[in-house]
Amino acid sequence: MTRYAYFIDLSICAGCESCTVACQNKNGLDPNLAYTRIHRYEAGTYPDMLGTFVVNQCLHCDDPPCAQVCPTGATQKTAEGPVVVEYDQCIGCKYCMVACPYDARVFDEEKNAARKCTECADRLAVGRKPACVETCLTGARIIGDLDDPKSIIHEAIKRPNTIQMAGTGFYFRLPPQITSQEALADGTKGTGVVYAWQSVLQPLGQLFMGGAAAALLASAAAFAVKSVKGGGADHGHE
Amino acid sequence: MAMSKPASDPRPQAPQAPQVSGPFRQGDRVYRFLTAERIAHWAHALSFLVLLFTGLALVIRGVAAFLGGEVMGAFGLTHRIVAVVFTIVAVPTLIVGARKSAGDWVRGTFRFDKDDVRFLMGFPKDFFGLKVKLPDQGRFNAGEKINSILQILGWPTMVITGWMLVWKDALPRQLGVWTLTIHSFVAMLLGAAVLGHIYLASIHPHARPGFTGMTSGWVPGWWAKGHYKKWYDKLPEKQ
Repeated sequence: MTRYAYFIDLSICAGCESCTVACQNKNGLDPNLAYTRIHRYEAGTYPDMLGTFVVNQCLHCDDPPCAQVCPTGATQKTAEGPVVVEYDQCIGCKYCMVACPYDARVFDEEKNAARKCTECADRLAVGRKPACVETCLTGARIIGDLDDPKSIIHEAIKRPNTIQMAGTGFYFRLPPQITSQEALADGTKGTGVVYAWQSVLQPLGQLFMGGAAAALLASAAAFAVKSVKGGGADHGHE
Repeated sequence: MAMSKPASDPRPQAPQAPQVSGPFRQGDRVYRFLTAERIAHWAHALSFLVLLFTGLALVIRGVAAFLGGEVMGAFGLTHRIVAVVFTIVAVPTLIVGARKSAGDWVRGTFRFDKDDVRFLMGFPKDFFGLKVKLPDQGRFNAGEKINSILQILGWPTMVITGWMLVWKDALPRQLGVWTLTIHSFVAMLLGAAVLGHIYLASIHPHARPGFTGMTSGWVPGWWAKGHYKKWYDKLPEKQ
C-alpha cells in the first residue's frame, strides 16, 4: 500500500511563490487561478512584529467534505491519499467550494468546473514528485509514502514544531512567529452538518420520497383490484 | 362503492361565479376555490414542479452525472428563472384576490381538533380503499392541513435559502453548508408531499371528484358534503 503524506516547512518558506507558478504551469491554469497560494502572515503589534508565510491549498482530507457533497461523485478520495476530480463529471455546481474548509477549490469559468490540486497524482503514479515539491527553492516541501520505511517523509514529520493538520495527511512545521494553529485554517469546523447531510438527511429525504411513491402505487393497485372484483367504480365515502 | 354520482354532472356547465368573498353553495354544486386561489395554486404548483424536477438531479446521486454538465447547466438556469415565479406570484395573488378566504385557510390550518386526529388515524385505511368511517371535517381535512403547513413553512424556507444559494460563493462556509443542506432536505420533504397530493387529487377514487375545485372552482355538492361536512353545512346558499 501507498499512503502519501505531505510536509511543508513553514520555518524555511521564503514566500517566493515559485510553487504557485510551477503548479499553474503544470496544470495549465489561468494566471488568476492558483491551487496553492502563499499568504503573508504577521504576528504581534507594531512595532513588535514578525512576519512569515503560510500556505493555502488543498490538504487532501482523509474524509473530504468536498467529495461528500459532490452530487455527481466527480470529486473522489483515492486510496493513496490524493483527492482528485473527474472533470468530465463535474457540472460546475460549486457545492464543493461551499463545503471545502480550506477554500482550496478554484472555479474555472472557461471549463465550468471547480478545479483543485491533485497532489500531482499523475506524476506520483509514475514515480515523479509534484511540481510544487520539485520547484521549491528552499526544499520546504516534501512528499513521501508513510508505508515506505525508507521514505524521507518520516524524518521530515519528526522535525521540531511540526503539527499534523487534523483529519488530513498534511504536516506543517511552524515557524517561531506562529504560536498557535489559528494562522492555519481549521478544517474540522463545520464538518458535522456535511456529515449529517450525507449520512442522515439525504438518505432520509430519499426514503420519504420513495416511501410516498410506494404508498401511492400500493393504493392505486388496491383500488384497481377492488374495481375488478367489485365490478363498479368507487366514488366516495360518506 | 358507497354512493353513485348524481346524473347531472356539474362540470361542463359550470356557471360564472357571482360576486362573493368566499365559497358558497348553489343547487347541487359548491363553489370551493376562488379565482385568485386557483391562480395562486397553479402558479405555486407548476413553478414548484419545474423547480423540483430541475433540482432533484442534484440530490439523487448519479442522476446529475448521467445528465452531464450541459444539461445540468440548463437545469440550473431554468431553476433560477422559474424561482422568480415561485417567489413573487402566489402570495400577492392571495392577498389581492382572496384575502379573507386565504386568511381563514392560514389561521385554520394550524388548528387540529379531535376530529382531525381521528381523521389522520383512519386515513390510511381510506387511502388503501378499506372501509372506514372518517369524522366530519372542515374546509380542509387534517391531511390537507398537514400539506398546507408544509407549504406555508416550506415556501419561505425554500425561497430564502434558494436565493442565498444563488450567491453561495459570498456566504461564509458554515452558513453555506447549512443553507445547502436545509434547501435540499426541505425540497425532498415537499417532493414527498407533492407526490401524495397529486395522487390524491387526480387519481385516488375517493378524492379525485374534487379536482374540478382547482380548475373551474366548482365541486359536486354530494362530494363536498361527504368530505367536508362541517364546512358544507355552514356554506351560504346562492340562487
